[in-house]
Amino acid sequence: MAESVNVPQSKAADGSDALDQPDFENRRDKIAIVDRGRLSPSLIALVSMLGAAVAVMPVGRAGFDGVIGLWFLSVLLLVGVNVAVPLDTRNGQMVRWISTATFVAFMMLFPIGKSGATMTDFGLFAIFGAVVVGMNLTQGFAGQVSLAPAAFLGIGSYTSVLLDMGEEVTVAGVTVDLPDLPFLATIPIAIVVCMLLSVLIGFPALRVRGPWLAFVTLAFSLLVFLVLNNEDGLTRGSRGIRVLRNDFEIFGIDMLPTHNFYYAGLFYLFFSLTVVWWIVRSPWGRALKAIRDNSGRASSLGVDVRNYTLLGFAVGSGLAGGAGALYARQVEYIEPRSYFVNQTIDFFLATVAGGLGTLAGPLIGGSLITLVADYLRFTGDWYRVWFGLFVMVMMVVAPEGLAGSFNRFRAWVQKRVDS
Amino acid sequence: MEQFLQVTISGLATGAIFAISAVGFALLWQTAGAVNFAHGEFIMVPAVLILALGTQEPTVGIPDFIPLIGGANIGVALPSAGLPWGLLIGFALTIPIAIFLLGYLFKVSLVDRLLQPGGDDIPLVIATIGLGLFLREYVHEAWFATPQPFPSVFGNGFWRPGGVAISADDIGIIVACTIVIGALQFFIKRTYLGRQMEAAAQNAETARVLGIPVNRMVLLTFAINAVLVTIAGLLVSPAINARWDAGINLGLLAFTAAIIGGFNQVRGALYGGFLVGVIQNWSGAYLSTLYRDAGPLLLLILVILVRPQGLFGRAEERRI
Amino acid sequence: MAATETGVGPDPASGSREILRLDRVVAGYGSTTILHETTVGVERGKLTTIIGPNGAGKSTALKAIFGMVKVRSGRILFEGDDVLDLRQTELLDRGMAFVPQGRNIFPAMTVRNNLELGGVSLGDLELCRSRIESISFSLFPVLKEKANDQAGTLSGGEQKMLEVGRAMLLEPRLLLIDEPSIGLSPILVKQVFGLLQSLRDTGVTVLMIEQNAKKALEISDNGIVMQQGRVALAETAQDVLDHPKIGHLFLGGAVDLDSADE
Repeated sequence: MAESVNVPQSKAADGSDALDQPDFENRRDKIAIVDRGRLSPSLIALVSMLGAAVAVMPVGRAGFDGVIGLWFLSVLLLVGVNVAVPLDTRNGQMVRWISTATFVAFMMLFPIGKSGATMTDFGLFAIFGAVVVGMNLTQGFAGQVSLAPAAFLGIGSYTSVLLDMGEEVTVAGVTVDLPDLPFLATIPIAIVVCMLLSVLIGFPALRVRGPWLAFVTLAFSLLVFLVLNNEDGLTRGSRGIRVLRNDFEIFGIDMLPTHNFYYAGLFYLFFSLTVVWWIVRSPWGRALKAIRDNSGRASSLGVDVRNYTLLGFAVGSGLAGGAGALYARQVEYIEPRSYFVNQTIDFFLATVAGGLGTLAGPLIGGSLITLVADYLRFTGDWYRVWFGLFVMVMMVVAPEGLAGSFNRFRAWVQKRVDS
Repeated sequence: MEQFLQVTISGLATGAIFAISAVGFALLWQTAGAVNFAHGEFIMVPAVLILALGTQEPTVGIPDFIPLIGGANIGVALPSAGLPWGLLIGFALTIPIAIFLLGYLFKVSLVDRLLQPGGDDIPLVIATIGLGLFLREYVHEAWFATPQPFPSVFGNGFWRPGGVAISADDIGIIVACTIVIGALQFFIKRTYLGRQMEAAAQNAETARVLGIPVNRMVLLTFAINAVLVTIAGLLVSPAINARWDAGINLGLLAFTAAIIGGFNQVRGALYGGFLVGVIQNWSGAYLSTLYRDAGPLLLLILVILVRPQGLFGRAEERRI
Repeated sequence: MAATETGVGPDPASGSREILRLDRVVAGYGSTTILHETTVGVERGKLTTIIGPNGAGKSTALKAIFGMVKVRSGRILFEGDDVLDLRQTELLDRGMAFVPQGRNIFPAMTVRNNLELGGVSLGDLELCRSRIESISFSLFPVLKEKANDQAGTLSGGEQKMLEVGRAMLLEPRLLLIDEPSIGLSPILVKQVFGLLQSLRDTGVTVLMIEQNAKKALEISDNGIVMQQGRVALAETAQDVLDHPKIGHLFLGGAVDLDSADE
């Protein structure tokens, strides 16, 4: 759970700080040729037990009731081990893999014995988590602010739902018969449509340096909302569309129960994480990092800044589009209001608060806007006020976000341990 | 023809307000390098303050959670002898509050901390988006959730010369905005202090070498912006009511106006504002009322594609 | 012995002869250090030229003196007082002025308005205007002719005159000037150098950076050679010119400039 890809934190509070921070990438390379230590069986046994405890404890209970204290203690211990064991040793790698496996196992086992309402929350967490993972690619790795994830979520939802209904639609006086495609086939279509649209709007915006993409995507968001809201013949406007999961199967599994559909969202979340993880490790990911840290230098090294950034934005938007297809079935009702700028701001806050440029960050951020937000519902909408304040304060004191702060904390602890 | 004139005049009135908002946005961008994504909320908040301080609307009194005076209604409602005195008093009281909160406090607590010379502008963009959310939700939670009617300083009069219905509000707005922008232009171009401000905006390093107090000039820009957004809030609210979520559209149309016009100068933002207002009203009247805002937004994307320095901007004046 | 490289801290005997002293100044941008304990003195009333290869820290030294670069350690003494961390207005008030490299005018404003901006720290526009007449316009009559033209329409040489004329408004005792000859034709370079000499003759200390090393040293009293953020040599200009190693190092490169100039 406390797992993340270590990248140098470029967005530090002040310029000098960024350069003072340990460069994880280099450090790992350097130590890789030195001694990585030997695996310690007792450590691995301990971590595995902690992991098993974290994953299994909530199984079969309505929530975390009764075990909440123990469960939190286990999570804290697991995080503590992650902090204490240097990442660049064999032990550190192993701890990381076990922690990742713990997260996967926890998410897989969690639905057992849970109520439908809880699983709706967790399903939403998985789907919104995937959107934030994509947004994090655009913002954390490609260094551009996109204010259109909700619009792409909406485009994905409507594309998928309309292609799945087999009804005739009317746009600008033209009536078209839409096909009735299987749900799974509509997901890649939603992704591709969003990627194409994002290239179309990103291309002009990324021509010049500056926050142009933020402006263009904001304008695009409003345009998308206007179209969704006003093209009655296509989208049924503000009345929305009911999307029931009746007669809905994936690979022969009935998707009507919330518990089953949750796994569809969860697999999509894992898919998004894998895509971004793969991109970050590829030469393309290294180029993106070079651009984010110093676009001037990157372009002088022959990196095509614009194309790489555009691709980062396109993949991020595509992931949001695919998530839209799942979101429509998760909430079983789509309407333009769900995809307005407010929703984008939520995604945006999740991305920033979780931590830019890490893999664990979007998971933390995604949980903030779904699970934590749901928990804070009792405050009315006051929690949103604190959210806004939190982001401002965080940009000033810890611009690297929660996951980034964790990495910094770990580096600090290990420096202490070393000396 | 009558309809065309009518639509164009109300377009010019909306445009005048966009122009005032866009000028403030462009000034901050040019002088301090600060891209403010909370600009729309910077217009909405003073409007709410004016209403709270200047009228006896119970829903917009002082928020309940403030100790002692919470829930009290301090609005002034003098007998309106021709002029809406309450509104004007509210406006006068709001100006210093706006200068402090949206000018000084915004500068020292966010901009100065997040904008390093030669650094990335994204952290400030992120923080101002957070600020926008904070202001929006704060007004929503602490003040009111439903739109509140907002009286016009110019009254509800109408003239009908030759069948064209012209509202006093529209004409008043056009005249007021022209005066405000004219005065600002005079200040920047014709006064010593204004030229120092312009110098600090165009080339901060040279200005510093000459002994121009650059930081004070930047602070002055923030104060001017605070005054401009307060005026914009006063003028725009009668048409859209005082509402917590007004900032999203207002902000976007202000950026649109500034970028279309060429954000690095008062002139560009002025033309851009009028253009956006007129195009918005034309698209509303002749294409579809549902797509009022679509025209300006499409134009924005087009301008960024073919002429990123803006329609009236010069490429060599671009600093960012 | 002119500009002195040796000696740490103000030498009481040279206190009056030296107008400026850098004492073990360390400065740079971000995490890169450019000046490594630079120590040097500048003689009062003389025209001193700093030469050195690119990246030697010449411009950074001037910026450090004028508070445009953060100095991490060391002292900068102007007329015996530590002026580190003073704001530019205070430095101007104390009698220092700086003409940075490149184009430092406001092209959209008139020549007169540009000049007026040089007198902000006087705090009196009328005084500033009378000084423009008595100082800037008498130094450069051409500026008076074009007072109402846009500064952007001036030629390169005239723009440099505008910058120098503006810096002289405050009657500085020390003028720092970074590469005044850049982008100017050979005739104009000669004019600018002549101008700096005549300023020196009226008692102004001039500290300039020049890429055009040989020519600059020929018209200077003293020369400072910088290399890798340190002062390699500080002698009279003639001694620097005659120094065998220096000739080898930098003036060899200046041959090209020479042939291009004549």
